[in-house]
Amino acid sequence: MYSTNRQLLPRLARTAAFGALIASGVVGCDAHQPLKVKDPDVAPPGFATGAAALPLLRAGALADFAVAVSGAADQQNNGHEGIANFGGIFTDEFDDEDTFPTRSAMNTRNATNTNSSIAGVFENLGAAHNDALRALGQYATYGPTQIGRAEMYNIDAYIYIYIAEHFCSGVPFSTIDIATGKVTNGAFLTTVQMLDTAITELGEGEAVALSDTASADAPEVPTQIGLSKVGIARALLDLGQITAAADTANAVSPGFIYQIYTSSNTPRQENGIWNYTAPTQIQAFSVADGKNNTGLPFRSANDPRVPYVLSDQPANNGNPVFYNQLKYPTATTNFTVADYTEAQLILAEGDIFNGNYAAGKTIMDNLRSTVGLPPLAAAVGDKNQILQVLSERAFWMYVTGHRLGDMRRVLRAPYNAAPYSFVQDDVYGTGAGLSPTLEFPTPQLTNPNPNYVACDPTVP
Amino acid sequence: MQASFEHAGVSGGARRSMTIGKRVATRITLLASWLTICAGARTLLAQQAGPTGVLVGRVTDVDSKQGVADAIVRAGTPARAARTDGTGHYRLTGVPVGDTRVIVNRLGFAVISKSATITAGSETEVDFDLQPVSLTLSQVIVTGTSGTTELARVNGASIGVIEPDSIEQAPLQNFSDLLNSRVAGLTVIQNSGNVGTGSRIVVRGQGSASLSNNPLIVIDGIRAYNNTNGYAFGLGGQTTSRFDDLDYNNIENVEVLRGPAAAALYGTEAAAGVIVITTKHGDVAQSPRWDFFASLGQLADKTRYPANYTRVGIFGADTSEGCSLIEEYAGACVGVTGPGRLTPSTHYNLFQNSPGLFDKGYTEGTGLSVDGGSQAITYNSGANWNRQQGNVSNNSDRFTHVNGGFEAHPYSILDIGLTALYTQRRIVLPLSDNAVGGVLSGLLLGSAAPNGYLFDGFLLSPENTESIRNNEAVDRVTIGASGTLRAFPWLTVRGNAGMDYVDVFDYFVAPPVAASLFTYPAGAQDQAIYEYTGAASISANYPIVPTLKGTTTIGGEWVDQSIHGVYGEGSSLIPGTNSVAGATSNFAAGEFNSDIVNIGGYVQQQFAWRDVLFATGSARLDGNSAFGAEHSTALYPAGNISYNISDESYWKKNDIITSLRFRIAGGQSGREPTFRLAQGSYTGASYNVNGAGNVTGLIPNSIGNADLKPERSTEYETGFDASFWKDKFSLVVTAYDRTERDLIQAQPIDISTGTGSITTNIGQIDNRGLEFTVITRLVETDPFKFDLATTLNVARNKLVNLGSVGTSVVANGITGAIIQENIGGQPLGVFTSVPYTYKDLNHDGVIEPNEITYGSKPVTVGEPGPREELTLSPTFTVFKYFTVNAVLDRRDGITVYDGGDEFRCAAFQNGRECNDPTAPLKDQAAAVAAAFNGTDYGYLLNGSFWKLREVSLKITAPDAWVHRYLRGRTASLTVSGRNLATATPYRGVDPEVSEFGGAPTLANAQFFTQPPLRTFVGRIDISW
Repeated sequence: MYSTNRQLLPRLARTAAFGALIASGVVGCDAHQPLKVKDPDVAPPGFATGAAALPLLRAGALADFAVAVSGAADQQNNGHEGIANFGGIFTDEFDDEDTFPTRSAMNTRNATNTNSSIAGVFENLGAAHNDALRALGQYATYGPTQIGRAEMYNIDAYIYIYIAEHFCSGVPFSTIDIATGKVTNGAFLTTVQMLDTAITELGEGEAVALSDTASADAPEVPTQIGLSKVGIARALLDLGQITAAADTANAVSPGFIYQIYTSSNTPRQENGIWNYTAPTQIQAFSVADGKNNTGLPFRSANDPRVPYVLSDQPANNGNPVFYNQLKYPTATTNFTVADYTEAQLILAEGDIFNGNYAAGKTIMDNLRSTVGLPPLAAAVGDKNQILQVLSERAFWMYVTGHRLGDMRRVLRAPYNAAPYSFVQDDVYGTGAGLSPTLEFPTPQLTNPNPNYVACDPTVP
Repeated sequence: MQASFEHAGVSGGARRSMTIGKRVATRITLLASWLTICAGARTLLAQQAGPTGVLVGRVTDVDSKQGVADAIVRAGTPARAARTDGTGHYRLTGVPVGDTRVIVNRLGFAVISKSATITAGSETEVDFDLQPVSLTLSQVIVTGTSGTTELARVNGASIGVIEPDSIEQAPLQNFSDLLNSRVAGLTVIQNSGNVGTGSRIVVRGQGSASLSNNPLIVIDGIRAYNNTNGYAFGLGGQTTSRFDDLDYNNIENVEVLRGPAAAALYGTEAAAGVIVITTKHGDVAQSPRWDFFASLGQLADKTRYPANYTRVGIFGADTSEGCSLIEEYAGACVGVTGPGRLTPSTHYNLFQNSPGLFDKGYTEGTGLSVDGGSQAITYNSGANWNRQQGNVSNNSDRFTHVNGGFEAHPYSILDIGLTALYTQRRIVLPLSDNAVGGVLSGLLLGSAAPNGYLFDGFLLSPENTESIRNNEAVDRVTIGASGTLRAFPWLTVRGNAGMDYVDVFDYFVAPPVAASLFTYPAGAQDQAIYEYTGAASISANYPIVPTLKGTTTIGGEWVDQSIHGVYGEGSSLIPGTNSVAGATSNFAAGEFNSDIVNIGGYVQQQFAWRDVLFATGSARLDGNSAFGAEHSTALYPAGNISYNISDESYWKKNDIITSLRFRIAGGQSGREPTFRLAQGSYTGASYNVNGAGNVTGLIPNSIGNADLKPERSTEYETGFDASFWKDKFSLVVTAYDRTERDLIQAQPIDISTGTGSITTNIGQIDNRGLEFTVITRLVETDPFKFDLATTLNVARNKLVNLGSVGTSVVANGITGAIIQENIGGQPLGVFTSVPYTYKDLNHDGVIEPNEITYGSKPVTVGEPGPREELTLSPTFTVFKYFTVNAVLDRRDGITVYDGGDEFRCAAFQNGRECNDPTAPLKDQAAAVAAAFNGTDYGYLLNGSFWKLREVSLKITAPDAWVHRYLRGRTASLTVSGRNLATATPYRGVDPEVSEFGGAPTLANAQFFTQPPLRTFVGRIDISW
């Protein structure tokens, strides 16, 4: 095809020179530069470090804590039901009127460790736990005495308490590095270990709050101290150390309250209990009344502490009868994590446990009077007196994530022995179609953790 | 609150507009620069072109001796091409001097080739007689990212070809219909029968467990957006597909590169195959050819939907509801002391008793195009319009398409092609599938009482479901330019650049109407998708020894896909409004952006031995912005051999074997991680700290993995092409084995970390199969002809392993139990469930809980499939003027989860099997097992089917009549039907559609999914 090589070679040389020119241009540039793209929608991990990141990390942890505890209305962004909702349908607070089988299984306490709804709540608690640890890591370096550090200790401790009260004895607390994906698998903690960890962290939180002398933080200091104290008292109650719990609660100042503050700013900040009960939302969880014939009469008692109304809309599963709770009537109703009332109820229980029923009843009657309720009828017998405390706690702290903890702790020492000898039917019985299980299973999705150990079935 | 929302929306939109404008300007500048460079190069290099000659001649029909128009004549290396005019004459300039092979192909005729010797500066005449055949396989294929074409006989990989003009278009409603059941190995999985909804396109099986299995789309060398999960808001499962934005009317042909063996030069993202679309650019003709069509048809839902059941006289705990057998077995019925199960059921079919709800839909369309040109420039331009109205009022798809394709040959050494496509779609969709407010769920979950649409008020009445609007407005522009410069006889430079721009505006609204469960929400999202392509290559061909020629190609490609979008949502619309602007609560707004850049370079070496044996090797190196920082590049090698043994000199021509070719090919390609998958990041989450006001917070958004690299697909295939008895029987057989490694997987981690998984490369999938294509003319007498085209695909999919991931869950059933998993050694997404056996021990005619025996653990039940797909397409022609064509499709080895029927009994207790004591025992057992043992086993069903997909009758008017009465060239009338009949053991409504058909997932389930509509269409085609 080519007349001579003398024609071919110069052409090849020109072509080679042209190619070399292009190649040199490419080599001269940063080869990776064209592959660098902008991502304006997210913040790289570097923005989560340093002093400037402290308020960001704190608010983020609190945002996830709110979703994990009281749920949210933003189902697109993991804003599902919180531990308080699930505790509600698992106990006698709510009837499930939903079509989701996973929620129905919770309603009858037949949930397995593959229940995806439980896994979702557990994952949200884990997210809040990791957020708090990340924040604590930065506070330790850049703000060791700031009140935010105390709050991070406290909410992380409450996560331990919520999990200890709801889940079985054998739960991991693992952590992950966002930048690298490296996982640090935690040990599976027993119920006692979780509560002990909580008490330790609450002690740290209280110590940080006490050491915070910044004037700007002053209004928050007593709140965080109260949160620490009520948390410690609650954990001690779960550990069966009733007297110590009461002593701790006795130090809580009147007027103390720590809340999850909701907002209409975003659906993720809206009250998740409202979201699953309001007629304008998802009518999934109806106020129960003597659930399974053994639960407390939350409706028929007509108690102002459990306000409700018969809905004019059918339930999510088609049931024409649905009772809307009105404790959280709006998307922006705050959720109480701990308050002076809870401290007083712990104090009352301590008095009664120590044989001073009159003192305990007085505390409860005083609380009741604040909402216009008459004094309680005198309960006779040690067991009935404790049952009365549990009932008062159930009404005062309706759908706040306390009920299951109460139902379980009375099956442990000291209430599982004389003179109380509580058995399960004493609080919220087994009943027809109701599993005797009184604990959430640890989700199967914790199995990748090589430290896996099965839950201890001997711990109620 | 509202003010801040609007401000955010305006701000985001304005910023986006500025960014878009800047980017477009930049790209246009780049494109203009490129064209300028090409023009300069043309001037410079035109003078250096080597000696060429001219080839002329005439192509005729061997039987009639009439000239054959539009035949493509190719010669030279690299190939020069020209088309014959209306009299069959052609003139091909710029053919390099020397011996060359001249090849002619034309739809409806066997390919023919002759040798010729071109002399410098003079004309060489070569004439051809074409042999008519029933159908042919395309002989020219696009093989390179920069638009390189070559003869199929050179390529050792099998490439499927669809030529829209060779099939009846009347039954087609969209581009997915064009692909469905045409090419062995390509499967279309519909997600709904509602018009405007899309399908999932799968080539040679599922290759990825987590990423998209959508093949790439390349239009005239330009990468096109290929999302099949288009609609922004939840519709319950159904969605739209960007594949269906394409218009088959202006497509010359569609090549299906089934995997890396054929598509390695496309690099990253070609693992799932490539669909290469060549649009019409006009044919040489003495006068322009005008084509007009008009169609009108009817859509109807002919599905036999089941009735709703209940039992009278027995009530559940809520005494307003009937009590089902399941509830009775659970002891939850009131007043049942005796054999309540003998209480008869009553039922009511809302579908058959809902006048006015399911009106017949319609389809109408029209189009006009012009095609023509000279040897210097050809053109094709047209406009089509189509509207489909589904069988519910809030379902329609209006499609408008305008196209222009030009091909110019300003100099003998330069070809320039231009493509410009515009598509506008306006889609309206109802809720469907797994959606409260869905049309089918509203009826199938409804009451068994006459005139009762509502089941205790849970579901919406038809009036309300039809008031809900989900609208999608699509405006899509695809523009591209290509150039081929034959700088020297031995050196060719190719380049192309272009952009596919898609603007998708979605909005939904549930307006304030009575009895709605909704909070009257509205939402809107607008996203702009830009897919830019720039590619160039240089090819040099040279003799090595007299019988061996070499071709070396060096090329590069740059692809940038960026997506920018904003959205806003709100609730509690005020009466009279139908948009987010009317919302008064629950505001949410946001913006999303993504950008993935891929830059690749490749080298390809080809050897041709005596123009009979061809061997090709290539390697492509890709850099990709979505890879992890530690793996920023990936190398994809490939090679193939094609041996045209029947062209050997020693091959004795005979009347039995007309042609025979053996081929073997192998190659690698990849799948890129999705945007941001390799990067750790935080996002914002506000919190009302201390109740004092909202404070911005940081929470994790994505977990990083610097080691993340693309999934790597390795494919080998071998086979042969043969034709017998003068092409009356053609056979293409291909065996393939494709292995995907380094699967991008969500590796489960302890969920107590607050995240369920991290993304990593782990695991392996294997797809093996056999593909057969048989085209035969069974009868050829005067006046009858009977052709049969058959494709058979036998596919085996296996997840070899998922590494340390072990297994992963694909889907859970209604009971909450796992029903689809990824398990090593099993097909991807294998169905699993706890099995059972049942026996009516007490012979009372019903299955009670104690009459079922359960297995101890889940077993595998089936796979999404299909394992086999057979398509038969017979064509019967009488007197040349009457042609009957049909497409009969068989899919086997499919398991479908009938979740809708299970849900009817599990949640609403209104299915037959949980109410009617006379229901088949098998069905009763399914409901009882689900209720009392939590196994969905009885609802995992065989979804194999035969489907009479298309039948058409085409009446062609004699040319003389057309000329006399219409002054035209051709005219025809086609009457066709689609989705005409289905035979299946499946007990649900239709096994072909899937709730997840549009999503890149393996789940195969029906949950009140609209089955395909039966379509009858009449179409008139006239050309002048």
